[in-house]
This record gives sequence, structure tokens and C-alpha cells, in this order.
Amino acid sequence: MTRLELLRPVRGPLLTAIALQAAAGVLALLPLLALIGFTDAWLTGGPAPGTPVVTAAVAGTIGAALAAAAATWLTHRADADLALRLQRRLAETIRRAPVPAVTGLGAGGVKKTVSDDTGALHYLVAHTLLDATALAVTPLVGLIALAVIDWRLALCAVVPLALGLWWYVRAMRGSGANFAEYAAQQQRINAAVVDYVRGLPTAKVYGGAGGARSRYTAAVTGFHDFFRSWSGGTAAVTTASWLVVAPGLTTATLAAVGSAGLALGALTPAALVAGVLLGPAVSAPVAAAGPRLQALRTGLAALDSIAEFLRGPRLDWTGTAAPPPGARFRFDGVTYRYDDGRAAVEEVTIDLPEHGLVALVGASGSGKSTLVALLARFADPTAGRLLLDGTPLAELREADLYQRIGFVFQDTGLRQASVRDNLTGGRTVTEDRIIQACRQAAIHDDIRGLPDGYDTVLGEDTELSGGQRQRICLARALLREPELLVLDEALSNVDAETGAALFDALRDQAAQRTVLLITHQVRLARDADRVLVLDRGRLVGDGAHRHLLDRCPAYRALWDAQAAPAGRNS
Amino acid sequence: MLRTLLRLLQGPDRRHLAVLTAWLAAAAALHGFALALAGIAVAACLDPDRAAAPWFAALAVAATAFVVVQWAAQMIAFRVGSGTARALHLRLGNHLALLPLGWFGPARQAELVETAATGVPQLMSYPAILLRPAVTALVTPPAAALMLTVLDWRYSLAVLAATVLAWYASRFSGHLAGAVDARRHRVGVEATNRVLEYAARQPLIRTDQRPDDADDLDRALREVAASARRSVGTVIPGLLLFGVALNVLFAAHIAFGAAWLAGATLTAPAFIGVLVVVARLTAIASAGAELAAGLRLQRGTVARLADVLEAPPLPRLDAPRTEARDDALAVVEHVSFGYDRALVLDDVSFTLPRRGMTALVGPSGAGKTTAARLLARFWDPDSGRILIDGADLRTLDPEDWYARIATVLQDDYLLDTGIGDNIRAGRPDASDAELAAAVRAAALEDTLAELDGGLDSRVGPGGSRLSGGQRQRVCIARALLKAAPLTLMDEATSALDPENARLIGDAAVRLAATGSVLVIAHNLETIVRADQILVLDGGRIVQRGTHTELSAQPGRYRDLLRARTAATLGSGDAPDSLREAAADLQALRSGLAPVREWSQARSVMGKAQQGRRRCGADPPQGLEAGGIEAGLAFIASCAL
Repeated sequence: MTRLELLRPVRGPLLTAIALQAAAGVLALLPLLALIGFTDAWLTGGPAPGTPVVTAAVAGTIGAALAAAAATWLTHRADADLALRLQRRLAETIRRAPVPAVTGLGAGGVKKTVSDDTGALHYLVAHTLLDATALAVTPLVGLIALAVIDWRLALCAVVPLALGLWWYVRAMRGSGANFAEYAAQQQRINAAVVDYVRGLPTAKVYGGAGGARSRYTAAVTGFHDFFRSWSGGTAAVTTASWLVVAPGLTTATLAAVGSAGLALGALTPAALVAGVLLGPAVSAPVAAAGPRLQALRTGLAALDSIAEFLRGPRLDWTGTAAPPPGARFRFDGVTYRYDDGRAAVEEVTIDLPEHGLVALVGASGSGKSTLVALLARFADPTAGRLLLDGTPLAELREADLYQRIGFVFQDTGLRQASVRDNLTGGRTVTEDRIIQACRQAAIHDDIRGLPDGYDTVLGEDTELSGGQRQRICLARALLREPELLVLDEALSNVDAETGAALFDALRDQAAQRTVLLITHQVRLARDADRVLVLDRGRLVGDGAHRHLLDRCPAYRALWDAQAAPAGRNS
Repeated sequence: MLRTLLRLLQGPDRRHLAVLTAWLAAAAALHGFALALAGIAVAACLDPDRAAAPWFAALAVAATAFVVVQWAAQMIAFRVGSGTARALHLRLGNHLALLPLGWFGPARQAELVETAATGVPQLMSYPAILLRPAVTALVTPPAAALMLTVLDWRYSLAVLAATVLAWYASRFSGHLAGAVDARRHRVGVEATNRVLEYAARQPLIRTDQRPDDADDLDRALREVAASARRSVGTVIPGLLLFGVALNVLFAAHIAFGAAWLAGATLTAPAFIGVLVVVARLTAIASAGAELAAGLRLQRGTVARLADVLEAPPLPRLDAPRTEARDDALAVVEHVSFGYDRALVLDDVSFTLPRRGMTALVGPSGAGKTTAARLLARFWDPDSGRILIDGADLRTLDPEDWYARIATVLQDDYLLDTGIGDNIRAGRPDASDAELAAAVRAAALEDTLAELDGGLDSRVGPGGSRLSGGQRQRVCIARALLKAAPLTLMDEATSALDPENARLIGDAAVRLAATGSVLVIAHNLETIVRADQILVLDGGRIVQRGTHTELSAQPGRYRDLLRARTAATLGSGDAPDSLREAAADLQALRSGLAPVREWSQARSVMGKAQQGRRRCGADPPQGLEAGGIEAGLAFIASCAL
């Protein structure tokens, strides 16, 4: 998709607006032309132009204002329409994108596109296009009118324009690289200031030479040193480019040339007046060209960036396959790599049973959460497949997958809605079922203790602790009676007593479904039916606790690390 | 805006900006003279009664002077532009370090990032580029008007009056356009936030599969778009008013001239000369107004900067020093503190020794984190005081104090540099051997071996390339390297493996040998190793003492211990022997068992220790001084 395709829906209004703005530029010339007509009469004492000329002047002034108003109105409407269209498409893209790309640490790109780029687009569509049109049309019609009156003066008027442009181009020479460097330097400031502000508590304590503050100072100093050397190199030509078109100077030049022509009898007084009135306006826009071009460039870059986001990877659900109930999940040689090529998990093959409690253990950073994200099809593996009864997940209906698997994530957001609504996800569920699930999730008593019980609105009436939120999510997952229940560190935020109760509840659940318990607490694995051990992204153990303790060194190490005596006095 | 900017700058930077303004004003005045002289010269050469040559000579002088002065002014402008932004950047950096951390809410943080990364660099163009047309629009017309007295003094007055009117019109239309921009911005921000929220909620939205999620968003976006469309009409007056005003003023000059011409009080050449000048002045005014939009954006940046730079820094008190106590590094005296209205700490007093570990214990919301943060001067107490070596914390230079403390807190942040650089921030002049020792003590060696770059591996923004546990270890290594007189630590309860939690305990013990350590502790194992335990509940210290002392007396601490023991023994992890020993002790406590059971339980405890199980402290020697409770705690810690 190109940037022009993005603008296509509002192409009609934008072209009309540009035409109107151009018309406004032409109409605005009429009063000046009328004035020139009058000067001839005043100087020679000849007959003054008639009413039609005065009418044209007045009509031109009013018409120019109206046309410009209409153009502005059109572009602002087009802007509102385009913004809605793009936001919808962005939302749709977000809905289909791999989750890591749009949440958490990957969300920076989304924020830039959704917030900054659409903002820049507003200026492009609503303002910059019309500004640029006015900038081009006004001098052009002035030049044509002057050329009709006296082509030699028109040539004189073009000289400062040519000089100004020439110097401007020289000032911009090599600016591509400089703009890139400018952006890179700005990025550096961005990173440094994020570090500095977010890490300020830390920076206050660790503010030494390697600290965020000195990195900020270094980034800022680097930026300004770079910018000074850039602007220092172009200061002279930049200044020359707009000084040569300063109204005082262009008027003076044309006055001098015109008076010489008048003295030589080569010019009429009216031509002289036309030259000094119209001539300076021909070149004046050069002084404003820089900011306008910059605005145009920014807007087009934003369009490119939005187009690129919309082209990003998508998780499409291609099929309508419906494997029979009780089908098994399988990781088939699954590898997932980060953008920088590091493998989070590598060649993992797991067959999950029909029911039973399966624990997935490993040190932090061993790839446990990545496996969960793949199982949830929040992202697709770089290599290998995830299968349900031999069918790749992508060939399922999206809703079916999430009906079959219930997830309890490590840090789950809840909706700002009632507890009941959060639990049921808007479905109709009987009160008994809700209470039963909440009892199993050891959260029923907590909910009853809330101001309005199950009707308490979360986030508004009350704040819940991390452990309470996790247990609500567990109840929510239990209510769906999934074939596979996945808990990612879901027992990490609860106290030991509740944890033990929950574990018992999970044991019960495991009789009728598969419960996959992801945890760093190896001791929980002891009572699982089966233990999977991940080490640096690879599956290094698969079996019962006793068996692994003897056969799997990685598991043994994990177990010993957690059971070993404290390194007292060491 | 210029005034605000001058207020925010200091010393030479402020002077440079003022000098630049004077240069630009001089250039603009010369520009006005040159422009008026060009008009006068045109009038002279159209008027057979006037000699044109002297006026052209004067014009040449004025134009040359203009070019020279404007050139010089512009060279100064580029320097001042970059100097101003640099000064603001540096002042921002310095001032942020002085602000109390309570000042930094999430919204303020986002705004700060935006201001520093985008706003201040853009501000450079204010002195460098935008100030010139603004000064020109303000100074050039009056200067030209003065010069026009040569042709007709009435036009001088007319041009001056028109300048004033145009200025008011530009202010008013700027105000209108600004209000519309602000509304449009609010509307845009709302749509943006909706989409961002939608992105952040994807895990929930996908697993919930509620069709109304997408519908809700769509409805919100449509409402935003409808309100944007409705307000389109309000944009027009702001954008057009000024242009129309300039047209009217220009037409008024023509009308005056036509009338005076008809009354024979003005000659046609003079009239034309004036019109040439007024046409250009109109263009100058309109160019100045076009920059108003850019200036408005910058005004927002300057206002946000002022908001930051003028926020009061941590106050520095002037209070007499009391006598320092040899044994105490910090004395917390009757400290109360609350956020907004809710009281979090209520009349809390405690002492931190120069050496040794103090554990803060209590349920969540008890005020543990706040107590630790007050020592790091995140905020100042509402009442009471904290004495450091006898001096009120508020009288110390914050920088000096920060140099003497180290932290391992839950929201500790890693810089986007190498792991080694992050650790070295603890003590920049540490030798490689000292760095290696800290790495070893924080059990980072395995992590480093896995990474290609070793110590030079970058940690990513906020440490995002490391796992939570790895981040924590880097923070521990950093604190170990700093070995500060006071170290504040927070054992995170979640998202960490127990191994990492134990590392904190180990680091605390290590640091307590040379300095004072305050740990917000959850693990019994860490707690029992503390030299002093403070039990916080509801913002008050309800108990204090050592593990042995506290486990021997009834109270909150013993309740916590019992709950912990019951939970660990009940979880099915504990060896049966320990469970039996615990049962023995409990029977003993309730008087159901004879005292000889004690020796049985004690021998189990002894075996547990010999078997290198994970035990917090030595098993209690006798029944006296709370031996039963101490024994239960010991068993609990073995069973963890």
C-alpha cells in the first residue's frame, strides 16, 4: 500500500480544496491589478477605470476570502473523515497483529503510529496542502500578470527568486544525511530521557559517571554539538537565501531598475508601479519555503509510517476446522525467535495429554511464557507448528480456540466493569456456576467482602491486589470449562495458604481436563502428573518428578537451588 | 512567550537572547526605513517636482545597513537558538534531579519525555528562525511609518494605527485558532487513547472473544469523528479573520488616499509611493501571522517547561544539628506521612544502626515501602523528622545523601547500556576485579556466559532484554558494588524465583557487615537473619526486636509466623519428620504433651540442619525464651 492509496478516500475533497485555494490566489490578484489601472489614470490625469474594475476588485477580495474559507472547510472535513478511517484500520490491524507487537514493550511502535503519525497527518491534510498551494500559486499568478504588463520587469522579479532558490538548494544539499542524523540524535535524546525520567529514583541514587543523568547530558550535548555544526555550515547560505528576497530589498531593486527604465524612456510609469507592486511578491515565498517543505516532508513520512504499520504481520484465521472434543494439543518442533534473531524457544516438541496436571518449569528467562503465548496464538512460531488433533491452530475458528483453552496470565488486566461481567465475559451464566467457580478459585470470600459483592465495579469502586486479580481470572477461565487450562505463574502472587488451596483445586480440575501449570516454583511440580523442564529455550526434561530428579540434570539443579540451604555467612 | 523564555533562562543565556532581540529589532527598523525609502524613491521619480537621486542614495545606504545588521543578527540568532535549547535541556536535566519523586506521576513522565525529546529541540527554531519574522512584523511597520512623514504625515499615523489594529486582529484570530486547535487536539487524543487502550487489552479481548469490544471502540471513534466534523465550521473564523482584517486595512489606505487626492491634499506620486510601502507591509504582517501556528505550538512547550522548571525542588531546611550517636546512622523520630488524605505512616520511630540488617515486616499496605522511600527522600515526612548522624535529612544536600545510599527496589530501573555499565553505576571508579566480585556475588556469571557480549551486552530499554530475575541480579550487583553506608532493599514477592529472593537475603547479609541495610522482607529466611525486625501494621510499628525475641512473645509477628508455618507444613512439601516435630511442639505449647517431647523435636531440628536443609537460624537450645515458637519458625524455614 502506498501513501497515496491512504489518501484516496479523501482525494475528491482534497483536490477540490486545492483548486479552490488556487482560485483564491488568482482572485486576490484582481484588486492589485485594479489599483495598477487606477495609478495610470492618477499619474496621467486620464480617465479613471469604470465601475466594472472597482466591482472586480471588490469581488476579487471577497471571492478570495470565500474560496479560501471553503477550501479550509473541505480539508478539515476530509481530515476528520480520514482520521476515522485510519483509526478503524489501525484498530483492525491491531486486532489481527501478533500480540507482542502491540502490547507491553512492543507497544512503542503502536503508540508512535496511532498518536504521532495520525497527528502529523492532521497537519498535512488540514493545513499543509493548502499552505503549499498558496505558496506556489500567489507568486505564479503575480509573475504572469507582470510578464503581460512588462516582461523585462518580470525577468527582474525572477532574479531574486532564482538566487534565493539557488541558495536554498545549496543550504539543503546533503540535508538528507543530516536529517537522518538529526532523527538519530533525537532518538538518542528520547532514549536517554526515557531512561532518565523513568529511572529517576534509580538515577538519584546511581547518578555517577555511568548514570542516566550523565547519559542524558551526553545525549543532549551530542545533539546540540551536531546541530550547531550542521547549522553553522549552512548559516550563511540559509541567511542569504531569504535575505535576497526580503521585501525591502526586492522593492528597492525594482524601484531602482524601474526608475532607470523610466528615465531612459523604456518603461511607462504604470509599468514601474506594476513592477514594484507585483515584483516583490514573486520571490517572497522563498523565505517561507523551508518550513512548508519540512511540514510536507513530515506529513508524507507519517503517511509512509502508517502504511507500513498497516502492512505489518497479521495472524489470520483461515479455517473453520472443528476437531472433536477432547482433542490433544501438540507442539511440533516449535521455534520462536525475537526480532534480533535470539531464540526464545527452540525445537520444542510436546504432546499434551487429554487430562492431568502438567507442570512446566524452568529458570526465569527459559522460555516458559513464550510457549504460553504461542499456545494462545498470540504469535506464530518462527518454525514448527502448534496442532490441535493434527490441525494447525490457524485453521481453527478464533473463538473456538479460546473456548477450548482457558488462560490465566501473569499480569492480567481486568475490565473496568462489574466483577460478574469480568467473570462471564458478557455471557449468561447462572449464579450457582459463578459462585462454584469462584469457590474453586478461592476468591468467593474476597468478592463477597467487596462493597457490592459480585456487582462491584472494578477500578472504580475498588482496587484489587495482584493475587486477587489472578484468582478472578482463574474463576473466569474455569467458567468456560476449557479442555486445556493454562496458568502462567498464576500462583505467584498469592500467600502460601491460598496457594495450597488453589493447588488442590487444580488437582481436582485435572481429573476432567488438562491443566498446564507454568511456574518457577519447582516444589509445585512435585505433585504434578508430569513435569516439563525448559532450559534456555529447549525442552530438556519430560516425565515424572522422581524420574526427572534422577535423570534430568537441569531439573535436579532447579530442585537443589530451591531446596539448598541459604548461603549463610558465605 | 519571549518573556517566559527569558524568565526560564539564566545568566549569559538570558543576556544572549535579550541581545539577539535588540539586534533583530535594529535590523527590522532598518528594513522599515529601506522599504519606506524605496516607496519615497518611486514617488520621487514619478514626480517631476522632486529630485530622485538623493532618495536613491539614502535608499542605498539604508539597504546596505539593513543587509549588514540583519546578517550579523542572523548569525547571532543561529548561535542563540542552539544555545537556548542547550541551556534549557541542561537546566531541565538538573532541575529534574532536584524535584521530589512524589512529583513524578505517569502523566508527567510521558509529558516530560515529549518535552525533552521533541519540544525543546523544536524550541531552537524560536530564536533562530521564528523570532525574526515576529520582530519584523512588530517593528518594521512603525519604522516605515516614521519614514513616510516625508511623503505625508497623515499616512504615518494611518500606518501606525493599522499596525496596532492588525496586531489586535492577529491576537484575536490566534486566540480563536488556538482554542479550536486545543479542542481538536483533545478530540484527537481521546481517539488515540481509545486505540492505544484497545491495543493494550489485546490478550483480554482475544481470549474473551466479545464482539462488543470492537463495536465499543468503533462507536467511540465514530463519536469522536462526528464531534470533529461538527466543529469544522469553528476553524474558519480563526484562520480567515486576520487575512480579512489586512484586506480591510489596505482598502482603507486606498480610500483615504483617493479622498485626499480628490481634495488635492495629496499628490498622485506620493499616494503611489505610500501604496507600494503599505502593500509590502501587509505582506510582512501576513507572513508574521502565518508563523503564529508554529509559535502557538512552541508556546505550549514553553508553558510545559515552565511548569517543570518552576516546580519547587526538595526544600532544604536550615535546622541545627543535634549530637550524632555513635551507634546510629539514622534515627527516625515520630514520622507521619500520607498521600493526599490517607495516612500511610503514623508516628513511626526507629533507629538504623551503622552496621547490621533491619527487616521491615507486615501485611501489604502496612507502609513498608513508604517507610523505605522516606529514607531515600522520595518525599519528606508530614511531621516528625529523620536524623542522619544527628542532622535532619532535610538539611542535607540531597546529592550528598544519595551518594551515601543504595537501593534494590521493585521498580529499580536499568539503563539501556551494557550490563557492566549498569553495575558500574554503583561505583564508577571500581576496579575490574571488584566488578567481577560483585557479578559473582549476585550469581550473574551464568547469565553473562549465556550472552554473546558478556558484560558489554546491552540490556535494552528499561532492561527489557533481560528476564525479571536477571534484572534483579544486575540491581543486586550494582548495590553490592556501591556498598553504601545505607542500602534499602525490597524483596519482591512475585515474578521471581526463590533463588533470586534468596540472593537478596544474601546480599543484605553481606552488606550488613559493613553498613546498614533496611530490607522490606517477605521471606522468613531473610527475616530470621535480621539483626532487628520492625513489624508494621496499619502505618504503625506494632512490634520490634530480633526473631528470637519476637517469636517468644505473643503479637503480630508470632501470628505471621504461625500462619506461615501452618501454610508451609500444610502444603505437603515438608518432610514428614519436620511435620511430626511441629506437631510435637504444638502439642507441647497447648500443654497436651510432656516436656520430654521437646528433646525429640529438637533432635529432628538438629538433623534437618545437618542435612543442609534450608534453615533460617539455629534451632533454639531450650524451651525458655519462646523456644517453642522459635522452633516452629525454624521448622517453617526448613520446610520452605
